[in-house]
Amino acid sequence: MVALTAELAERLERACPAGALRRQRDVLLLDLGACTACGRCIQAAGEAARRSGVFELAATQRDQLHKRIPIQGDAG
Amino acid sequence: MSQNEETLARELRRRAVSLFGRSLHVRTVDTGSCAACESEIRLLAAPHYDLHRLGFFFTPTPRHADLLLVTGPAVRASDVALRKTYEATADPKVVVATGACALGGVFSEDALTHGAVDKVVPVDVYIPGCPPSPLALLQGLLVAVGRLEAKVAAMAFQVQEAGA
Repeated sequence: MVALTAELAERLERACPAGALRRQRDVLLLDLGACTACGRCIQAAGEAARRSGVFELAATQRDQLHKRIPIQGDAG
Repeated sequence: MSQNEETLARELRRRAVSLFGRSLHVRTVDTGSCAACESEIRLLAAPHYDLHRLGFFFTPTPRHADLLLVTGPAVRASDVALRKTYEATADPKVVVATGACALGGVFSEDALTHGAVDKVVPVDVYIPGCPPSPLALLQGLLVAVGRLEAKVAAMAFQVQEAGA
């Protein structure tokens, strides 16, 4: 798995039609609740994204489904 | 059935038995879903998952329900139905928003839809997925039973005297 660079983060954000991947300064926010598993992130940046296969994701708070992935290097 | 599925199912059965005496009733509410979530929910009742053996049953009336399984992006046309269903369900109850639409992932708020179920009724558990697999639904039900346990524990029960 490669490090998430600013360029990859932008590519992933552009590719996501559901808005589940959003860049917030030096992190990439992955909203699991919004993800429709369309696979476009894997098409756009397969080196940085993969299917986890994890299904035990139910949460009691909506923001528990937000995952923050730090952007490595120059966050630009 | 895999080890993982069996472990999940066993835990769900244990908690449903201890809390509701093998009788936890689920009412599904569709607020504009594409029916993919409903398709996965129906699979829970199929022989492979067999939700009934765990003490969960689908009910056609909210008055018999303990748990509301809500799908869809809460279209405004379903406002009255959703609110009435919520109010008709007896306490303690839990609302489970099911699927990316219900969680606000697919439709934004506009003139036709609220975009997420928690803008209309309070939601206790969120199950992500488009659609969530039956295993994800089972795990969501397990989390929901935990919420019900907490709600039951917080309720004040009164013993009615005979003849009162």
